[in-house]
Amino acid sequence: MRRESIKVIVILILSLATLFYALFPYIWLIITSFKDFDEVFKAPPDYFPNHPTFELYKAVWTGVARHRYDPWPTFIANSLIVSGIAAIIVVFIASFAGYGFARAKIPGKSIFLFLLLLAQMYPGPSILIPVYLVVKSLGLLNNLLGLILVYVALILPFTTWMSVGTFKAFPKELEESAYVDGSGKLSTFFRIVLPPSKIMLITTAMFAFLIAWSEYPFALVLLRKQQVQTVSLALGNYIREFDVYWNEMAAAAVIVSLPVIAIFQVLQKHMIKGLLSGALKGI
Amino acid sequence: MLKETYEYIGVAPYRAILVDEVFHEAIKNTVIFMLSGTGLTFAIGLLTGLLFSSNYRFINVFRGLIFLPWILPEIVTGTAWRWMLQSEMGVINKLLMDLRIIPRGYAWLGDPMLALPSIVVIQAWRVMPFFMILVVASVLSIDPELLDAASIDGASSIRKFQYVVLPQIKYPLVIGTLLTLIWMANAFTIPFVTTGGGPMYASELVATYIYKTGFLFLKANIAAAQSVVQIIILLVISIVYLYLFRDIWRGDLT
Repeated sequence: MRRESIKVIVILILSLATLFYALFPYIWLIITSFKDFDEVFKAPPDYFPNHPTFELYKAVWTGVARHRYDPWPTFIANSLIVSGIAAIIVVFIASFAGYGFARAKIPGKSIFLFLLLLAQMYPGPSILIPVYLVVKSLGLLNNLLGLILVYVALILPFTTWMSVGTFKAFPKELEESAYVDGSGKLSTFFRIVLPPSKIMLITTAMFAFLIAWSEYPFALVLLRKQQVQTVSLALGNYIREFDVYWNEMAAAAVIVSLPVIAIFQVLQKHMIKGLLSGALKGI
Repeated sequence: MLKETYEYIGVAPYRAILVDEVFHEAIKNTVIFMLSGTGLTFAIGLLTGLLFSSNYRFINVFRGLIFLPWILPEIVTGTAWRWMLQSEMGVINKLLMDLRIIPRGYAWLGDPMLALPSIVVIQAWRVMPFFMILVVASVLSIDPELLDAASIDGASSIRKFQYVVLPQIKYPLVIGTLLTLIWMANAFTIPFVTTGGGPMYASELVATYIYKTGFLFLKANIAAAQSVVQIIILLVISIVYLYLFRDIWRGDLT
């Protein structure tokens, strides 16, 4: 019995150490965001702020930063527009495509699904140049619409996979009895299949929103003008141009991360499950 | 800003990257980054995954919290790490010196010897939660009777892992490692905002160099050739990898 309790204590200590390792960078960001300008330049730093201040958040929010005007409310509005519209388009297409893949008889379906996943996972930053050239030839540089189109393309493969899984698990009998009652394919889809799949639709939308909100490399190459920048791009520019005022940057970083953490809190279980099943079935 | 009209110039861009020494350095760094980052993620992810598979109070809260590095925007975590690894005001030097692990502070991101290892550690830190939760999910799906039977037979923890757990989680491990390899190769944001490839290309990756060639030096054709090389590296490494572990994933698919 005593050996068991020692084991539990060791496991608990190791778990807490792992948590510390995983969470410390974010905790440090929050601590830094409450330090005033005298403290943030202290070398070596103190672990806790001696005079915690909320001024940095105010400075970021009102756009009156120490050194220049950064319209953060505009950046946040841009990010909300881009991520929101991208999420809506993604859910719309992914649910249709997912249902099609789950039910319709398409020759070479599994190969097509496999290619979809491959095309999403493999290219990464190596498609920065071609995507830039395509968006440019569409005349959509410095335009939120261009970024939305790119994000939809980036997010669709994975979300389609998620919805294929959900619709495959949907009991076929319900649809068949609807067909017997004379209901068409589309109305069956909207009346019978979609309502119970609400949770999947919401998860997909949130997931798409998260990816779009966090994305950086494509925003970096597609948006140059300040008034169209998204939050992640604005944060990146901030850091790359000014290696100082870290408390203000920390406050900005915390603001950028808040929606992500909120969404994750709500959808934690579904998202982890979705991620894992997508990854494991993927290959 | 990139050229408007196109003309056929054959393999000239490939000849250009063949003689570009910085690009060679970037390829070398990318391969080191991919392999060591994946190794680190595997080691930490497997160990902590086994740790988090045990059942005790708060474990579900812990499993949720551990996902934070994975879910946070990379630009946010990149910001945090760049600030933490700063040589004078950074907290990592302070922490390691207070714990007597290092005698003096280092310029983690500014030292040519330390820049690449630093971004490997940061990127592995970010991918680790995914790998870990993958391990947790796989271990939890093992039939508990198998583990009980092994305990009754008096098997030690190490033997239980070797003969009961490992064979059951082999397939997810192989897939998780492949995904990690791909994510490592495609890492851009964290290296870009922390070292930016510096100092003097010491931590330049093909991904960050593609950006520089295309959007700072304004040579889209050469950047495109570099992108093709990047894809080839990734494909070759994944094919070799899948070939090495063919028994595991083939066996599991049939």
